[in-house]
Amino acid sequence: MLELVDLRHEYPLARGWFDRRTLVAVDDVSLNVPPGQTVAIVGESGSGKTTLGRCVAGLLRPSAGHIRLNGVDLLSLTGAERMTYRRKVQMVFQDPGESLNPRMTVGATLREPLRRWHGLSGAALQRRLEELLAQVQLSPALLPAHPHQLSGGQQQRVGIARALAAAPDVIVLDEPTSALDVSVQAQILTLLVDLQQQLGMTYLLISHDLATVRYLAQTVAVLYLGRVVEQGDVAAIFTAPQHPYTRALLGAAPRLTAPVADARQARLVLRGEVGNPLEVGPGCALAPRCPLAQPACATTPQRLTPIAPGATTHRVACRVMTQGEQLGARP
Amino acid sequence: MTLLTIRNLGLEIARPGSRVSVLHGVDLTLRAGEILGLVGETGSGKTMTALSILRLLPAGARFTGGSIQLDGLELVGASDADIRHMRGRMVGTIFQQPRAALNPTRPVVEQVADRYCDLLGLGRREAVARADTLLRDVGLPDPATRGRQFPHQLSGGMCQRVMVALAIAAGPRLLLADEPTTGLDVTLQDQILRLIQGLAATERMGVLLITHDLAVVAQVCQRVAVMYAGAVVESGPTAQVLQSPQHPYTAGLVAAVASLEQGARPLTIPGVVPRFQTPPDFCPFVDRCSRAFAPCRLHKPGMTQVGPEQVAACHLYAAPEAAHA
Repeated sequence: MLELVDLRHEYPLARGWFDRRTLVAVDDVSLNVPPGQTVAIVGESGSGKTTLGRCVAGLLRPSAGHIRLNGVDLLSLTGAERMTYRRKVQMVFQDPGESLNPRMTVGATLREPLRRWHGLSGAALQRRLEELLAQVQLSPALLPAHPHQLSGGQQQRVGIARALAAAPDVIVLDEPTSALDVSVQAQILTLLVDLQQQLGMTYLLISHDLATVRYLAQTVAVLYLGRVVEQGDVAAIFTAPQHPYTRALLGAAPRLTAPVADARQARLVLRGEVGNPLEVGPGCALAPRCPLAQPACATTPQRLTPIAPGATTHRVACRVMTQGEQLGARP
Repeated sequence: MTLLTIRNLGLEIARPGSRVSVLHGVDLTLRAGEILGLVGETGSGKTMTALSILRLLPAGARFTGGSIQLDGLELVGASDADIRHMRGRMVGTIFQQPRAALNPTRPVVEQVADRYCDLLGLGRREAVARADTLLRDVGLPDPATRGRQFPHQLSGGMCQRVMVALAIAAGPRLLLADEPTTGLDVTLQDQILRLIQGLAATERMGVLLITHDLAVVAQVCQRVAVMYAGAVVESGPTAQVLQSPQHPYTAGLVAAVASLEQGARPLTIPGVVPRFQTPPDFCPFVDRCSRAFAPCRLHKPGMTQVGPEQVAACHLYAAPEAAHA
């Protein structure tokens, strides 16, 4: 079980000796990722989703809060324990071409974690290597190949195999298919689901692609300027989104198949572009762009609140939506 | 009115020791005021088709046949001077990475004004005034201030609006938009697509929209052409092609996207896109096709009418005598 509690990450701006300002990229995010499940973080550029993923993978040190894996807090770990955490939480990156070492062959890329984490060598190493290739459906003929000789889909399979080689508990998938072609995207997504079922893997999925999220994840958290604005089951959020930002995001995504018409869910269009994270006021970060905003929205801090009494899994941080009538599910 | 007609276009790139046929049999028709979606995967030749129109081709590239007619003017075989004159004036272009395509050392309004000076011969003061107006028209927020800024100070969406302004400054009849919204967030993508739709509707511009995203095509294109391994394999009105795709490749793409959109396990097309040294004399999709039969390996399928205004290059629909010709 992976738990994030009040996670916060600030980047120092360091514009001078007396300037202590920071950019808050992730602000009080709490999430539970149950074992064997996929939790998705959705948001646009600048929402803090990648920073969040890097904190979880142990690549960035959060400014405050807790990241607990099976009850053990990452921030309390030192030395060898910290390295063990790094093994248990692996990452698959967005651009497979950029995230593989161009001078290492596929074989070298995959042998390294097997030696490093599991001390394998000789026949045992070879056996595990072949097993990994079979799991990601790559031909052993590609072992001597360099990344530039592979297609995008093959590169991403190597990226996934490298993560699996560490035998992790959790894999952070940072936009795993957004650099790939449509038909290849589908192949990688089905591979990820098959691996999850075979190995009981836990995924933290970071994505801006709503179709990917809907297919892979059971739970989703929508991030806007570092804060979770809505959180709940994928089915609930996709059929009855409550937060104006979620509704705008779902409405703006082009669709091949016509969406179900629902007058109450009429498209919501936001003004302008994602705001400056340095100019977020005490209230709702979306207030300057929100067509439903009331004057109090900009000054009142928003908390995630169940959309209805008892509906604890679907929560929204919007005073307008939690005071007014809820939007029902589409028929 | 037909604005752009490409017929049986062939292009190969020769390098020392290698030769690759990148286009073999591209057929396209684009009318004024229409948005035609050109879809295909990486390496299918969609960008090369657009670059062929502009003749912005890599070293060693040469046309092996076919024709490109723009507004009655034949571009294959036209002189370099004619092509230079056409660029910007008759054809505007928007590329995928707007920030990389803009000059990082000059304020954006100056870059737009350069177009007016270079292409229309306006004086500097008038050019800057027109550029200011145009930046407002393409929806650059706070144009008086933003226009004086450099590309690195603008967001990706704002840079793309500046790119649109550069492309349309000289009033071209044809707009080539190569993945104009790839890399932009969905809400910005939505804004840029609306801007392009507006240009097609009000300025009667013909738009060739190159994309790998079928959902974008469904949203904004009247017609669509699907490319595979250097050739157009199916084209027709968007609704028709997406609702009843006839070529097995189109059907596979549509099924992959549609199943995923509905939250189901995505249907996949096995294998990868092939590359050809010489134009293939058989169907390029045969190795990945679930419906392949004997003729597919023997002959290259010709374009066959498969619906009202819908054509596909597939032996499944070819008349029996054509298959054995």
